[in-house]
Amino acid sequence: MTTLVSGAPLAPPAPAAPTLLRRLGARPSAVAALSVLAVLAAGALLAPWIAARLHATAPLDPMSAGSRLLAPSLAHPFGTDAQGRDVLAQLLLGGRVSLAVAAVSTLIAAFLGTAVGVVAGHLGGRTDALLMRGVDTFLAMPRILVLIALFALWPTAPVSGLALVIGAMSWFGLSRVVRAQTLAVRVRDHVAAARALGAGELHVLLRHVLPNVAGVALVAATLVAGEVVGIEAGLSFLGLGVRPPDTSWGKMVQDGVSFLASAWWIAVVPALAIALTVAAISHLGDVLRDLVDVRQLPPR
Amino acid sequence: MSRALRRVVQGAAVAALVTTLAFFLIRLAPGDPFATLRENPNLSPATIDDLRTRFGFDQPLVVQYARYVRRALHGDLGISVGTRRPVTEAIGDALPRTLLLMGVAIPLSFAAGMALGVAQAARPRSRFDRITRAATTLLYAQPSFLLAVVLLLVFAAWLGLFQTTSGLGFLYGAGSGWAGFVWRVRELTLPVLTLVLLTTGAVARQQRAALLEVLPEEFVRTAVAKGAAPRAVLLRHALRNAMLPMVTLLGLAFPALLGGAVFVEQVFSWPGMGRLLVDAAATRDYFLLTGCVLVGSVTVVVGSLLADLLALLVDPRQRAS
Amino acid sequence: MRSRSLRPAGLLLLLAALAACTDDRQPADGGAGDIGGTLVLVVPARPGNLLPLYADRAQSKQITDLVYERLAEIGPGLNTVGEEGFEPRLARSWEWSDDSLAITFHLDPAARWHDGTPVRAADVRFTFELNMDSTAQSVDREYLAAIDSVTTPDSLTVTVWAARRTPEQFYDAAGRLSILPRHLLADTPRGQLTEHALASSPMGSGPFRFVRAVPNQLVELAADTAYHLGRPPLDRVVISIAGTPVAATTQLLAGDADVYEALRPENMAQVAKTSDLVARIVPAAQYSFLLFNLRAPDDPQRPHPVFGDRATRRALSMLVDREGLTRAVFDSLAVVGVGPFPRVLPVADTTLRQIPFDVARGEALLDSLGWRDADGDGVRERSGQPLAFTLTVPSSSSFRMRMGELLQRQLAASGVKVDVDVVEFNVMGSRLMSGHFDSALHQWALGDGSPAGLQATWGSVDGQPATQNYGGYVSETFDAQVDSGLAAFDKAERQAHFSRAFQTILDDAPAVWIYEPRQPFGIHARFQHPPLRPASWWIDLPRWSVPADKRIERDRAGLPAIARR
Repeated sequence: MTTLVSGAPLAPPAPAAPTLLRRLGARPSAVAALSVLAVLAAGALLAPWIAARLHATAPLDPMSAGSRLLAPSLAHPFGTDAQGRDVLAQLLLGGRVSLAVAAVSTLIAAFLGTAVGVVAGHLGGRTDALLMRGVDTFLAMPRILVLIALFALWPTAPVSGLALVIGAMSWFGLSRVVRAQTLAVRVRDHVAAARALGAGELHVLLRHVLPNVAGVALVAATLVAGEVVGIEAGLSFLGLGVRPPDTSWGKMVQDGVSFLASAWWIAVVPALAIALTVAAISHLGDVLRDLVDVRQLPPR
Repeated sequence: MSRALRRVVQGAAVAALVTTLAFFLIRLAPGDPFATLRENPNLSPATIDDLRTRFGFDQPLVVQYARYVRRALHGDLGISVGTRRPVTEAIGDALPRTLLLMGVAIPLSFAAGMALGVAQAARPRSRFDRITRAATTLLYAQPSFLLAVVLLLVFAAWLGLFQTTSGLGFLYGAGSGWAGFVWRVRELTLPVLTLVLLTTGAVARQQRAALLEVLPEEFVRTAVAKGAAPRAVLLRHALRNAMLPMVTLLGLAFPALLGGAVFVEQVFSWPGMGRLLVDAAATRDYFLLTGCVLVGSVTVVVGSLLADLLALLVDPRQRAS
Repeated sequence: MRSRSLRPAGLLLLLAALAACTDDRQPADGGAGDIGGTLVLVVPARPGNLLPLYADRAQSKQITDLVYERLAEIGPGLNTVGEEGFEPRLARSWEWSDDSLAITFHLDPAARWHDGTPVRAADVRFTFELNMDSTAQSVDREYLAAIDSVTTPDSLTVTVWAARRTPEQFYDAAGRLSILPRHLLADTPRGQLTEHALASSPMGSGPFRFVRAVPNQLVELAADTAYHLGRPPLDRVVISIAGTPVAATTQLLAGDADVYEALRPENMAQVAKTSDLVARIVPAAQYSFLLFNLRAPDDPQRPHPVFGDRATRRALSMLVDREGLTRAVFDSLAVVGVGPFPRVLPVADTTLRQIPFDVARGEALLDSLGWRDADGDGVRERSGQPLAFTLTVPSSSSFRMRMGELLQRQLAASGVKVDVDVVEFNVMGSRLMSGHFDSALHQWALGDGSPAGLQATWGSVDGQPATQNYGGYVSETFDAQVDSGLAAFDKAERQAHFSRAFQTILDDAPAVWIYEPRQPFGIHARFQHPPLRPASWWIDLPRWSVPADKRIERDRAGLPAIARR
């Protein structure tokens, strides 16, 4: 292995995805992490409906001082912000953006990374060398600097653009891991057997290699997802990324930071949501890593 | 040492690629460095066109790029439109400050992270292991800027233990000498602490995993069988063999810490590369922004090169390949 | 372990880096009496070019206005007509020629550049020539159009000749230009002045001298002990450049800074609660408005389908709760707008007839004009044209983005559909200039009390809107009154013309004058200072002081060695 991030060519066969899920279900902490994510995702999905209900039960008038900066209460469990908006409603609405950006960019990264990794590992030779050289190049790129420059220059880029760009810049580490796993898988007996039986390369790739690298890719994707949530939050803190009237957790924290001394809930609530999400994802990653037994994943 | 050479070539390719990307993206974006001048009712468009000509922004993009590359190869990164200072000068001021921040944070976070990792691996799945892992995961999960703001508010503003800004020591008789040194250390404490808290978890996690991986191996068992104390085995044999992933991590910690430094610098008013970059981007200071991205990538490349060389030192096996 | 050998080396490197950052400065005693004290001004953005010719942002002017000086300084009332309120600076006295075309200034013979060279008439003439030379690209050049020439009868006397008599003739001659040191600048080609050493290390003849700058960190100024009008009481002014507004506020609240001039509404209460700090709110010389484009965006020759009609504009104005919007967005940090001027403008008139906020009347007016919601979709229309428009808002202003949202909601309740389009600052600028917009939340900022900008921003020439009249408002009455007002020397007559001009434009409603921001300061309580003037409070910094019994540690840091002479 000549490269910096080395894979684990001798890893035991990785379990296929469905088995993985079943084993995950046997771990209470993993179930807890999954439930946290599920609750947040459900909240995000139902956000407009819940926000409307919240508004109907405890209406707020943005024009009135009596609606602004209210401390948490029964009517507004997480208080209201400086603009007289319910922080719970904002949290759910912001979650739509934050989680969607995280999900979409992770999917993009997982797709690109898996594709490049599998192709490089499976074909080997020149293609492999070329692709991995490229990946190493991009891995050394100061990603956050480029993202800051990009979004400072295009401050009005839509949220979809944000997700796309972040995703397109986050697959490099993942592709390395997938490639290493592919290298390990392709020498295995059943792959060799399939090939001996005259299966086409594409068939071998899709039916025998891909299912065996899926677990590893999943673990690596949890790392990407955790990072991406942080990146979106960081960009929002600099006033980049999501723009009003859209909001995201990072944007909410940014809006609330100057109230930390007077109305802490505005920043702390979305910050907890971010921390909870990242912690849940990263714990899932840990558990999956144990189950899949990937030896070396790119550190974060 | 063809491997080292290849890494250098690769590093140069990264820098060239990122710079090219930055150069064109920046110029394709809406607006230009003279936007604020256009808001001035007393400046005629002719005056501004004149300025554009002087900076060469009226030339075709390809011509501008060729000129930029030619000059950059001679160490001239152009002139900042905002301050009219040479970009190399501005970066020369800022880069050492960011490197100082990272130079202190990296050894500290690795020392803390490795110690924690060893302690965790010594008794895997113990209560200590579980609690510290949960704590570092939670810390890692915090957005870096929020951690910085909280530290600033609590330790600097509220408890008054540290300064909320940097560089003002001369007002308190701490401009030079021992007092100045102490002042600088106090200034560094919170920014460095933020970076350390953010990265220690990742280091510990890696250290623990690497140790657990080598512990069952033959040579460790042999050492124990030969009568070595388990603790000594852990520290001497296992740790040594688990060094390589640490070094690998070091190379990758560079871009991550540089990214973290961007936010830390904003919050603690630390005049480093992050401040320069964000400011340049906001004012569309073309040359300064391109220069920042270029130097940022070179920093990262050099960092991973160093880590790579260190890997050779730590693991002689690598030299063979 | 091999890595151990690295450790001492690394530590040494670190020590070296730390030591290299320190500087050697001799400690000195704080002064006696009123003399002494350090003021730390925290700013949220770095200063730009520090040559007054190019100082176009406030953070730069705060420095150049202290290091350099003008012949005479505009007074706190911001008056620009005649010489009322102007205070002598480099010029000790002045007199007008019989035909009032020439003003002769007598320089203070004691005035010195900070390098010790005396300030002479040749410096003044050089400054005017430089600013009027198009190759030097001064930001002040176009103010100087009415100046004919500058002569120097002797080394301490300067005569500024005007091409014609104007009410602001004195201001143009004495109050606009910071006088520059000829002996340092004359040899540099004028096209290359932007890169001159003085652009980063200014050297003038003003009350404070430049000591040093650490880019993106701080700028240090020290009292010029030899200043010809008497040394300022403060020993030094340190401008500390913060990374973010939150960082700046924290510096102030933690006691690491003395003055911050851009507090947010939410921090006012905190400042008030901190015993060491006082909060002050100063009017800003700015006004913000909802600008209607009176011309069709796709064809400037045709009127805008909605805003081309004066009665519709008036009806829409009645639907806008300016008071409520201002309070909702700014709390106490803005006041409701009263016209195309901030209240601090000397010719401002707050007694004019305003279009009232009256939803019922506005809706009735819209009904009578034919804007009715016939198809029941919640939006009014008239002969197929829906009462809908796009509101362009710059992404750089969180206040205006928020105001846009509230406006949208307010107008929707009366069947007016507003699409808020948040665009990048530059994009908004180019849209305004090209006329490709329906309406915009725009703002004009004034640097002084001159109403001359009204011609460019709301006036017209030969029936065509002036260069910055983006909405395309054309009114002969308004133009005539502004022209007469600008030409009037008599104060009452001048006011009468401007009041008539303002009433005309208020009635025509080419915009809704929503608010006038106010500037919230947090200041350390130990300072004694004159009232903060709008637009450029720092001009009075040479009069700030710290009583001896109230000094804190940094007040006793003493003068930097470089400033003692």
